[in-house]
Amino acid sequence: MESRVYRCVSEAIAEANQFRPEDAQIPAEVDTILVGEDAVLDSLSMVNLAVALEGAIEREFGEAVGIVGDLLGSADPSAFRTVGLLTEFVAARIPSSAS
Amino acid sequence: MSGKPPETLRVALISDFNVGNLRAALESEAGEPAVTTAASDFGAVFPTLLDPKSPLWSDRPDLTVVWTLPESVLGTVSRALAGEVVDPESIADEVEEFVRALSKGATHTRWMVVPTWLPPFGTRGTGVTDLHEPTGLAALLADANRELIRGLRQLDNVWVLDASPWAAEAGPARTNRRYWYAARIPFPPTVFRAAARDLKAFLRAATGRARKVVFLDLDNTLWGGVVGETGWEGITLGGHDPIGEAFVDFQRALKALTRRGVVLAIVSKNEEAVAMEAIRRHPEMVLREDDFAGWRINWEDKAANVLDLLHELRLGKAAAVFIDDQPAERARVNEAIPEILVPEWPVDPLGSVEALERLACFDLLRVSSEDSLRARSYVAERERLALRDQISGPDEWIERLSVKVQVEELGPESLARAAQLLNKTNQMNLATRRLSEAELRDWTEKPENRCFTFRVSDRFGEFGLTGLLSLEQVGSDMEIVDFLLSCRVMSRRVEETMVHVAVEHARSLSLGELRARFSPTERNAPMLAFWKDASGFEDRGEGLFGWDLANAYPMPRGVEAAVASGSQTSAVADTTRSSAP
Repeated sequence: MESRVYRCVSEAIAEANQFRPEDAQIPAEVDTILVGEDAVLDSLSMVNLAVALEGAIEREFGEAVGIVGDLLGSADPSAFRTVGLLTEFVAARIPSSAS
Repeated sequence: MSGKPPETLRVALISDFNVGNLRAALESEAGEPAVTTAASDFGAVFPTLLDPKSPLWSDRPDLTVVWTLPESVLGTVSRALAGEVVDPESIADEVEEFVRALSKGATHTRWMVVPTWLPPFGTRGTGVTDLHEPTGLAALLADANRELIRGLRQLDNVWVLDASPWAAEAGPARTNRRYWYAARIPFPPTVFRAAARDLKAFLRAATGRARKVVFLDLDNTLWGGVVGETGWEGITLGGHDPIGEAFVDFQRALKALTRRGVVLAIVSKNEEAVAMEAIRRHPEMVLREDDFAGWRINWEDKAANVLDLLHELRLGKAAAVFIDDQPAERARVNEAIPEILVPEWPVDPLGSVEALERLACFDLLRVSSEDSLRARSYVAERERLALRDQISGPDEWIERLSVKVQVEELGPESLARAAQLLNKTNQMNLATRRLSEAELRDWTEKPENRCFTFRVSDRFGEFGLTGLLSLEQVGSDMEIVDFLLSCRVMSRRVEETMVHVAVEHARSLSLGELRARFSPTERNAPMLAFWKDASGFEDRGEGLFGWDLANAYPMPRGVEAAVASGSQTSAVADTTRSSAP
């Protein structure tokens, strides 16, 4: 499950990178810090990443999983501070019924 | 604004939504020109347009994009979205108010672009009758966009861009509201990338960077199969065959480009006689011999052939596109001549028309009669060169060409073409000053300034408006500010005719001397050569050339010139000379 989610996160990072300068690309490494202190993401990139990730998850698992609201609003940002934590955060929200 | 075009253009964005992704897309979109962006305060559309002191105008933008949501600008649309009963007649007044504000803002920018209004999130409005009912959202937006287009056509530096193809590229993602709820972004990234592509195409058109010539391979590019193996009867072209029809459509698309001033040329590894027989005899060929400005059909290196043709056509490398189905040939030309655009080309010929359209590199802001004549003019040039080969020297050649030059003061009817020439001419250009239509008009209206245009023709055909001369009186002297000539009419003594006009005009004002100051660029060495070697002006060093107006400057022999003033035309020449004084 987590490897599939990580693939979705990588895909979403690639999409968000399309709107970032070449010298400021986000590396899709598990320890890349996304939010908080030393974060590589500005708020606009976080929006692009979150919406792209939701789309990638739906394509991968065939089921819509609402994560934009959590990532951009209600959830504690420390729960998805790095790429690795984000992967775990999203994986936990995918229902077991998903393919 | 004057001087050489800056390397990086300034783009200002005025919008009532978050344009962060548009800024990023514009700055990262490949291809010239590079841009930097700045944005107005969020949602401050009318205040920015109406405030001449807005910080957005402080560093006069080259391009200002005003992209708004219809529900923000048009009260009628906002109310219709809420399901209220609206008066569709009120749309026109609301659009008119917006156009008035745009016209104010347009005075602070070189060019302005206004995308058409799109239905919010692709909403269906009232459903299947949304366009039929006058109060339907689709109907209101159609009316609003029509009024917008009509209003903005009156402004000479403002263009409406159709945003609907950008929305179409997003497909089902167009209805995704997550970006809006998260950050007030009304469109998915695909829309902004498509918009950035078109805005860059606009800037290329506005700054004279449009590509002017397409070099085409033949086998499996213009037709299917290898003509050298099958003969013209065996190639795949037209007929009841999907691939044959696709090649015909591709040729039609290329033919349409020639009517917008793009020139076609062939670079093919083939036997020339065999290939030309196909072009002449195949009944389904859309492109015939006269559609090509030139060709190199041989077994030589294609990059060398391209360079040879560019020299023959007097076009720069940056004006060219090279289309070939063979990756190895593309790689060779790309490596040898990096300035040429060498697009990846689909293996499947059914994708050729789409691939051509997606290049977005041929756009012009206006298509002049000179543009539509260009393809024909190269055919005439071949006939001229054939004549030159038959005769003894340049004097006889010029005389037998019967060159005619019509001189006119710049007027509203020639403003668009004159500005186009000013922004596109590189080689024969004294100052390489780039001005928009409005800037050129404003400069010419100053009492100390005059601007003349030159229409050239000869026995083989019309070149159209191909020369421009602008003069500024400085005290008791006259200075040539712009002196530019299309390379298509170089070396026909039109240059000397233009100098004659400048001198005679200055002499009619009893001025002391006429000066020309050459401003070097990477490409205008031919202009310097004229002033140094052929103009007869005194070379005063550092690019300055002078003429004592006590002396007349005779008309060159073999050129017939006339001044058009309204409906009156009178001869220019009263003296002639056989060569530069």
